[in-house]
Amino acid sequence: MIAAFAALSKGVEIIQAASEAIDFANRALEAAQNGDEAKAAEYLAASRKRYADARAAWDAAEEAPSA
Amino acid sequence: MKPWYASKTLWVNLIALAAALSGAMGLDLGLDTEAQASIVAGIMAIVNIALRLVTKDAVTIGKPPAAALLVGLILAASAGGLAGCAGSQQTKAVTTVAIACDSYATALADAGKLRVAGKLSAGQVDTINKLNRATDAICLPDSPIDPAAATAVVQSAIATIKEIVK
Repeated sequence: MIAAFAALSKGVEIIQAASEAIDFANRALEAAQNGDEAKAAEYLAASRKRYADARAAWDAAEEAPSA
Repeated sequence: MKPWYASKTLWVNLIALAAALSGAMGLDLGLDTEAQASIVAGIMAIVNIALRLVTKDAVTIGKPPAAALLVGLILAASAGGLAGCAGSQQTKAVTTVAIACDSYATALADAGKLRVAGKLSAGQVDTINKLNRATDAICLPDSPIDPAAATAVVQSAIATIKEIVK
């Protein structure tokens, strides 16, 4: 039961991350559809910062033991 | 009996409902039947991974393939949305790169959690390191705007991760 709850909670976490990415894509598409260059540039900067943060976290995990 | 969240019918109807509600609120998600099918496929992949977590078998790599599938479906849906939009080529290029970088960041954040938990093999870590190096030239701040490269790198990431989980 606990394992099932943990799995469901993990599933919800993944779906939440996915829905955030889909929401971001929708907002970026909306800016492009409106020809809003400033907004598009803003989304690009945000996505690159997000990548830089994820990259830094990935590199920081270097000491983690391998499976 | 399978759990409620493993029902494909449920997800199809939830997505149809979301599309209908967003349409009613004036937001066009650009979700045609094909895009909806792609999203359902992505969600089912996630649900299948969640189900695998409750089995007794070890799951060697769980989230990266799910994230990779999402990257694929988000890019596919956004390409369709961008094709018909009125924005300039530069705006479309910027948006393509933004969506690719955000999608890859989602996948990498998931992979990072698995790495911290010690659930990735040295080979898998090495592979993702290579993907990161390729992505740096596209997604690190101040990189040139190259939508073709952005799409190619993400597609390559999907293909590579599929190889890992074979």
